[in-house]
Amino acid sequence: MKRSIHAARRALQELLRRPSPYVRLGIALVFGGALFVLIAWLIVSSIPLVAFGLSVILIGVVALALARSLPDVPPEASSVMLRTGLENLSALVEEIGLTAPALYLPSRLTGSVPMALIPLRHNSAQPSIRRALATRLIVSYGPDTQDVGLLVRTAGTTVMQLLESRPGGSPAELESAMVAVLVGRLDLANGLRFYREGTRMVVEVAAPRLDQRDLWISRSLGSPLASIVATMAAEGLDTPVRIQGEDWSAGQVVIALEPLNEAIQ
Amino acid sequence: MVLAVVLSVSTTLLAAYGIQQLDVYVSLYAIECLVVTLLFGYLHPRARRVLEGIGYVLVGSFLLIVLVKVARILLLAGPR
Repeated sequence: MKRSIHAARRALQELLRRPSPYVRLGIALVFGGALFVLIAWLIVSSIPLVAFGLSVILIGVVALALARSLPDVPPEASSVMLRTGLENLSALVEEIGLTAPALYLPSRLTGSVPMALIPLRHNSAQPSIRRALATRLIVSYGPDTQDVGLLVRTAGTTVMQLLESRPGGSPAELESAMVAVLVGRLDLANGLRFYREGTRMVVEVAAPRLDQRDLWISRSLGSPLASIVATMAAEGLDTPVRIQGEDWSAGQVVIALEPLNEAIQ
Repeated sequence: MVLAVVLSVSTTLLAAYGIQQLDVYVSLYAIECLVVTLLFGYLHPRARRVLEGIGYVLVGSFLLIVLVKVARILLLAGPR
């Protein structure tokens, strides 16, 4: 009881410290609704009007609840930081001259969190990853001396921390996890479909709101949106995944992913 | 917005039909609140917790109203 009172008091202090429009609206509706209920009950004696006042109070409480869901960092600031990080990584990769498509590795193959491996050499052969890689920037992933690459964290690495648990490997579970993150938490899209098409997986994202494909790093990692879904797919399937392609059209992007089951030996 | 529209429409319809029992309104609000919370399943966890709390309060209020009505009926019936 004491803990809940303390938590309620802390929530109220937090709300009043940042009077957003939602808070002002919520407080106005709650107090206005309470006053309306009193007048309707005591003076007018009308049950429908009392019920209407209760519904106004209810909407006011919902507005206060939504105020607590506002992001701590404004979206513009987040966009600036994301762009800065991508530009720095892009400059590094461009300096080395890497253009090979990245291999998105599950946490089992990195020893920590899901990451992307950008091979130094660009050839059509699939990298053969036999064991968990060292958690370093420049890693060796194969027996050949030229099997060296950059192991980098991506937007997907950080996004995975938003999930309460690791996504399952079935298309339905992966779709559910991607929708929860991209549509629910990050509001980067209006909808998402995930399905298998032969040996590859396809992700259709409706109304994507993150398109930063003009950087060098996009040649290897793909767009930030593709990077996020590839990371989630790799972690859910517990197998390396490569982005086969992205098709951006008006109001939609279709991302093709290729799981590389044979890469694990 | 969805919740505001649903509550307004249901209140208007019930008032138009002449419903004078507050428990009818409260029970309908509880159902609408729970349904909307379920439909918008991808809310921020903090907002979702508060909305679920509102649902519990409304359901509790409904149960309280039902208990009061039952008690009133039993008292009116009286011991035989």
